[in-house]
Amino acid sequence: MKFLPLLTTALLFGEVAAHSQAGRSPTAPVSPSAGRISGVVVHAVSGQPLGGIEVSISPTEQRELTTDTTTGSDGRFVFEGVARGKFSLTAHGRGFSLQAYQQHGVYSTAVAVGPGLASENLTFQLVPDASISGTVVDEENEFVRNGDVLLFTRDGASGKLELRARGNLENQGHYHFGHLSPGTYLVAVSAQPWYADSPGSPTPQLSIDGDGVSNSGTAVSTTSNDQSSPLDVTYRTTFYADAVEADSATPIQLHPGERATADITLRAIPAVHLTLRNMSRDPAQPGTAVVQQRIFDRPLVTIQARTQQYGPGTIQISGVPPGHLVLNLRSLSGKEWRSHVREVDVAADTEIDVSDDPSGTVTIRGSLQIPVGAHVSPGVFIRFINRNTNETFGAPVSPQGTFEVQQAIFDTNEYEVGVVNVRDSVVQQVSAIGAKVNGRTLVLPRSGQVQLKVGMSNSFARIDGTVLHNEKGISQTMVVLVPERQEGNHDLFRRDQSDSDGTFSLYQVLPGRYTVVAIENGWDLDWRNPAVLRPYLAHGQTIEVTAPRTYKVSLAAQDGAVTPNVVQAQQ
Amino acid sequence: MCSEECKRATLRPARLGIVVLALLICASARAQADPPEAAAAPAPAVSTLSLSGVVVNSATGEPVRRAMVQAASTSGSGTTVSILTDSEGRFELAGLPESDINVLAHKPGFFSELELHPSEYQPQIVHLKADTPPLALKLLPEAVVLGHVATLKGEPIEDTPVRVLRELTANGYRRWEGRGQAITDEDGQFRIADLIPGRYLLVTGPNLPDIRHTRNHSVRQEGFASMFYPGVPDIDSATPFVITGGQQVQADFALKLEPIFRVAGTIIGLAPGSAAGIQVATRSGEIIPASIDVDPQTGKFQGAIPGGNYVLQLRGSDSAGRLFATDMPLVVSGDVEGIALALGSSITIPVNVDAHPSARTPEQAAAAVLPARDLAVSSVRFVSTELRMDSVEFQAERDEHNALALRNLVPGRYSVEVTPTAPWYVKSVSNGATDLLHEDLVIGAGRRPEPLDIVLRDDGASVRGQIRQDGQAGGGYVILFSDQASPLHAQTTQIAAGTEFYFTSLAPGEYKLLAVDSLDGLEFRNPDVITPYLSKATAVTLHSNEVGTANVEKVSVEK
Repeated sequence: MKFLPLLTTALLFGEVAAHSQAGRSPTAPVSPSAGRISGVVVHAVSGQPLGGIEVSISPTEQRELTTDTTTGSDGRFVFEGVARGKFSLTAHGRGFSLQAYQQHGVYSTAVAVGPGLASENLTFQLVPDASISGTVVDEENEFVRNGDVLLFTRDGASGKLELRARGNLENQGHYHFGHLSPGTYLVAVSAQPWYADSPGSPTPQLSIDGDGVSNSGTAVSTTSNDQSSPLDVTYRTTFYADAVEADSATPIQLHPGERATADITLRAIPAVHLTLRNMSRDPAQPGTAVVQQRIFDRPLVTIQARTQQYGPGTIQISGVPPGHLVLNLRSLSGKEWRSHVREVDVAADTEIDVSDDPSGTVTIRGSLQIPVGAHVSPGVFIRFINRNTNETFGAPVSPQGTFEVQQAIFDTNEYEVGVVNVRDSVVQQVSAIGAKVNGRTLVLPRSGQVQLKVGMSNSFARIDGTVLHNEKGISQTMVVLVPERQEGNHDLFRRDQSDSDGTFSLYQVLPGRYTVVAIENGWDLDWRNPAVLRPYLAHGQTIEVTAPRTYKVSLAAQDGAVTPNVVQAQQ
Repeated sequence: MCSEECKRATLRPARLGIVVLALLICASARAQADPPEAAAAPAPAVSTLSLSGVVVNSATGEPVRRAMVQAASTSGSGTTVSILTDSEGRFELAGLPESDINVLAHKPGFFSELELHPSEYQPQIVHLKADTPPLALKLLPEAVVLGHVATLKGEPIEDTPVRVLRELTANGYRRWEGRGQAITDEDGQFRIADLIPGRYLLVTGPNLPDIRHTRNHSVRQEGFASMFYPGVPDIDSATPFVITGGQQVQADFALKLEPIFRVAGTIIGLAPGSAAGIQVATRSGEIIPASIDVDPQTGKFQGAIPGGNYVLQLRGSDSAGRLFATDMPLVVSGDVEGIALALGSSITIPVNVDAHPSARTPEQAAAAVLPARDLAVSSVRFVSTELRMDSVEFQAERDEHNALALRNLVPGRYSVEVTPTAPWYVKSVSNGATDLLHEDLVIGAGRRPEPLDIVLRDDGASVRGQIRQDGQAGGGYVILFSDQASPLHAQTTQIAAGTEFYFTSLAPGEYKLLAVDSLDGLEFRNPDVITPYLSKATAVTLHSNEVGTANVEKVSVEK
């Protein structure tokens, strides 16, 4: 079952169910063939029963109808009089964040209640929260009182590092990330020295010549570091333990319940200055520049740089560390505001003329076909998502279904095509002139014209199935629906976790040929990697989806802890 | 570590002909042994002087290393130079011209005079000459409040807000101002730094279960209500504590788990296109983070709060964009259902202004320049006089028919402050039988209030004079109290030494004048505070259309 915490705050009225309560056994919606959900909550590491834990059940089809109870000192919980059906089971308590039964990411095992179904004597392993905290100081061992702290976590399956949380340094250089699940984490800090100053920065009191050109024209040049002021400094984004490159960062292996400490020292380095020319011809509207830095290919850190207008059309940015920078510019070209992005590698003070754009732009024109009967909200928008960095750009779609967008492209990555404000529909077909189409992803050139045709579909099939082990339904397996052609079709994959009776459901399946596999102990497998999946596909079930109906399958569980090793041994 | 470069004073001719200098005395032992070489470097002839000194921690007397000292020449180009002090707290700014220099030190974790007393800060100006002695600049270290929040059984309570409120006396009013806040961590610990000296209150909570959790519950939910240090429910019974510079104060809370009650009802008169929200405030005006859900379609609302005395505050706007406000006191000791909050029940007090020119000869009348009747009152404000955590203030406004009124008032106790345009003065302000120059205006819930009657006259008096101190004309603040009004309506002025104060457009009558060095921290609008000093005040009787004189001896006041 897909398990998502209730995030909606909009509440409906009048659904307050009057539940009778009998001691420690709250009563769920009663039906003639009422059953029970019972079990014990234990500490996932020690196995000790946990008392005082709040346990809740809610029907998977009506998640807002919650019934809950608290475990006794023996860790036991019982829900009496539970109707037939599937129930989401969750628990939380002090030191234990809300977790679903056998949770793996957004998936968990729903408990099926009914004749012959095992919904009692469940063992709910609750993983204690962990935390990472630390103090950030400068090279003189004084607190760094302002700054952003980024927490990255390694995805167990893909091994990719993802941004998990952002925090701030409190006024005594302290940060804290609580309620963390076990795993691998990295911590990075981005800050500016409190005393940073850029002497020699031009003041706004400029003398402007008659022709509107300031006499500051030759002022900016590369200055060697030994000439820069000791206060004209900055910090590089620094990873725990003491690394300015993400690759040299020390990963923190966080165990269940662990309170890890990760102190970081920042060291001031001479800052570089960027002089941006031709930002604007209007001194009253100098334009803006936001400087970002990439971490794991994504522009995640915004540098708190200082910007000063330096002359007509020129701004200077100080407090920037050397390295690869992403400049998000808003410049005034004639009377038109222009938003564009420049990426630069700077080692010293650098002057950039924003009017010449070496990267060029690609122009995408195209048409979008929206299926008949689709729920269309105002403001239909097509967007292109860089698969590597998740950076997004896009354009509004006209009522006639056409769109046009111009974009600077810095790498030739694959872009996924998505559409906003067309509900219950997905992109089914992409065809292009001037760009390569790989499945349903697009490989955009750095410049030129691209003609695009995008077709959407709201005609979905659903696949219901059961995962069997020795002829019995087995819970907690990872079910993956794999399209025949994996490359470029990442959004055709569907996943689920088998519930307590072994059943699962896969929704919004587009027509095509697929293989369904169920892998026991498979949650750490990189299922996005075709080489990892290949050994399981041979034992999966192939389905030809042709019509928008419900398909039924039953398939045997494969052991994720064993199979890949066997295959590797054979190779 | 220090590089060779940073030990050297750097001199850098800047762009646009502005000479900007900066140097750093490196904070390493080697750098101290090796004094800056700036003197050896050639410098422009006009900038040959240096200003040196030390930054000290005023709580301990110890030097403050790595403090930033900024010096701005008050003449010429306005150049500012910055430098960090060395490990002995010393600094030397070289290459400055002979001039008046404004010097300021600052450092995170410390407070300068400017940060401690922003309203009365006098810049430290040094006339830099060849023989200017070294300066001593003071910084006061921050104070920290830390502690933990736990249940009566000692189990830590996480995710609970803790706030510090500092007593602030400004413009003669005393109130509590939020100074910092923190959220307790998994161990129930909190820490609030960056505090300046003063009298503080500490408040924690509430910590209520998520409303989504409480909605369909078969079990009575429990939570933690707000609590003031050292364990009282409301601000009036809280014990303030004094924090001095550099102090660390430990303050722990033990909270009792209390039942959470359901609060539900309907907003009456919610028309399509209007927007409404309900917040829960304590009787001391603090909004507590207990969310009340409002269904905009039906006007039904519900929420969950612990037992106590509250004010439900309905705020919103109708389809025409007009704002409305309705407050309802609410005592919660069990589930409260069926509450009716009427949308149109906002309190409005119309304002009548009686501004009659005094009797004159036709020539006088012709010569008199009186502002238009509509402009006789520049503002009418209601300022809450209750000890509250936020400042509540309302201002009279004119509607499309030019009718002056205070609208969307909420119940409470207010001082009514009328500011007329010269030459008008306030002869009286009343509401029914209440004389609002002497008494507060009390607005109750549900009662239709009477209009505010303001009588203005233009035959006012004036008073002028000096502040006398040790037989000389001194500078400072003069506070003017009228015998015909409560101290709440006192006026103040600030004068430089040797100059005169001048109050004008005053109602004729008896006055008392008090001269003090500083208003900072002086709650002069509170009769209990100011009455003992009024015996030392200078009394004066002022007559219509006359200028009285009074020289006022400066008194020292305890704050």
